[in-house]
Amino acid sequence: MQRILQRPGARKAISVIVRLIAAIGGGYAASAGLAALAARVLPVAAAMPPSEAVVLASMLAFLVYLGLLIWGFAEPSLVRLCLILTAVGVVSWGGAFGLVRLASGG
Amino acid sequence: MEQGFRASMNWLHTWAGVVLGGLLFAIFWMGTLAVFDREIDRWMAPMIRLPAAEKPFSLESLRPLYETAAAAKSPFFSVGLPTDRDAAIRVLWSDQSGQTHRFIDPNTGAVLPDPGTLAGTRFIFPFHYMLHIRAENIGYWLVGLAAMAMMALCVSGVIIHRKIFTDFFTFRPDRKPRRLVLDLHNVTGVLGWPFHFLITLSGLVIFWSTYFPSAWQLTYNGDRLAFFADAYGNVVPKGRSGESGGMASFDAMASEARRVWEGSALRYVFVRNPGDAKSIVQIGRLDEGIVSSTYDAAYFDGPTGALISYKSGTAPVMSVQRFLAGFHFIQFRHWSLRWIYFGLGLTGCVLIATGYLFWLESRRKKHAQLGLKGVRIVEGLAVGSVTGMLIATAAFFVANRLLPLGAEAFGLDRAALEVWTFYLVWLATFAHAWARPQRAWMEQCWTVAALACAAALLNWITTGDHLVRSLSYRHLWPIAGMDILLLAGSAIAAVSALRLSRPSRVARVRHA
Repeated sequence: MQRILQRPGARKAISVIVRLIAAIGGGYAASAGLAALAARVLPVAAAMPPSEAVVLASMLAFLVYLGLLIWGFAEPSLVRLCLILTAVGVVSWGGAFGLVRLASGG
Repeated sequence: MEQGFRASMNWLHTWAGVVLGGLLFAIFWMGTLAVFDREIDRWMAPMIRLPAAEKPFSLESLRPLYETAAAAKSPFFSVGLPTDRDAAIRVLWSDQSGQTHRFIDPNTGAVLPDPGTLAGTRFIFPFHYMLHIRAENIGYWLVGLAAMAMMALCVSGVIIHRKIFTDFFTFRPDRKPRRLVLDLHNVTGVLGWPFHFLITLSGLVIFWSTYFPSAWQLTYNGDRLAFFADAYGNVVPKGRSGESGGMASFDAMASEARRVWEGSALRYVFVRNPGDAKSIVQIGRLDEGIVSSTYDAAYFDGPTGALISYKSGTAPVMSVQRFLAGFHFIQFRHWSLRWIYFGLGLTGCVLIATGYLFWLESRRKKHAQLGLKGVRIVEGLAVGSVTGMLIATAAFFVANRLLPLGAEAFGLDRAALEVWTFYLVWLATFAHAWARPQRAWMEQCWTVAALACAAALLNWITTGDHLVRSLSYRHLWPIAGMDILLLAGSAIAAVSALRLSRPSRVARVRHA
């Protein structure tokens, strides 16, 4: 197993697979989290009705995802890519759920 | 990853294109055809090649069908009213055995015989957005993935492009095939860029609540109806009372709906819970004159016919979403724009096909020297998804003209037989492409030419609507348009096949 992993071809294949998962899956999770967070923040910050905030956040999420996809394949450091996407995902989802909990008073 | 920004974008463009190009071509091709879905319906269902109604149609003549739907305990009864593109009235309800579709002649009120085809609106159009894969919405997600890839391809294509302005004016058909396909790829890509990008983005935005459910699910605690009630301001009781109830005059409700919208034409009548004491009649406004695909509707209490509520317009952000949806759906009345959409859709198909060809042509020699199989696999994929898709579509049209009404075989009804013809022929084109790699492009081009020409001829033989006749009646122009496109497509395919069969080309491919 270790010998297979040490071959240059195998290492390249693994890094490509990790990048595909990070850019496509991680990029989606991060943009969905940012949409959820924006839908909670916009009604307070911009005094938008909740339904309008939901639609605006969700439509912009496609462009955010597109940007993350492009960056996901352009970022030279795979480690930095994974770290930043994880950070954005945790902060956005955590923030969105936190605001829901705050609003319901729990 | 590759070194440098441009190199990594090149990598992304190449591999996203090779892996998802087949799916993208299918979606673009079906979307391009769906621009004329109602016209394809008329071609494939000759009984609805009707002239526009001379006098206003009385919805009361649909009452017997309504009673049938109510007796079958259908959850809904839906009536699609005539438009400029489609004279026939479309009625739909469901019972235990499935959905029942009926076409009605607006001149006589007569129920027309079942055409036994899914045609444009029920096969080609849904294929475009969900590939007819219903399980777990997989079809929608595959189309969504391909659409995101298309936008990434649009962006990376611009980045890797060195001389956009020069290539705008560069087309060198006399050069080597590799140069030619790259020129064609660049010209269609650059000229069509704004359309390709916007049509893809607007297609995604139509299904925003499927693709990005996080925002509405979190805000509305997973309650989709609560979101819709909030966004569209309509709270309509959904439940059945269980007691039977009558139905007031449809015509009276329709004229009331026209009155509140100052004479606007109507698009549909939709009854929820037919035959129930709590039935609701929803009447939609026809948005022929604007781009937006609005949700404007009036709601009536079924048994009394009293207006419950009506609305015009939506809040600003939702109006942007409805504008983008309408931009994509092109339900507005504008024939020049419709043809431009069709032409730009075709440039998208050419863009994807030439992208494949460029990948193949630039690797053919090197792969042959190294003994790699990549070119052969991708070439089979490319042939099957490009010319194979065209063959399957033409075979769908030919089968439609050959199968008699009410045909049944292998336990499948006529409409299913047409669809099976499409899929089996499509599958066969992949097998053919892998079995005869050297001649696949040429032979499949000949097949497209033969089938498209046969479809136009069969239309003449089976319906009598030849070109001279269809061009001389306004209501048959859609038939003439479809026949002309079939014949033009046949000619283009034949010319391509002839050029592909030139000895130099075959020898070169064989040599490789």
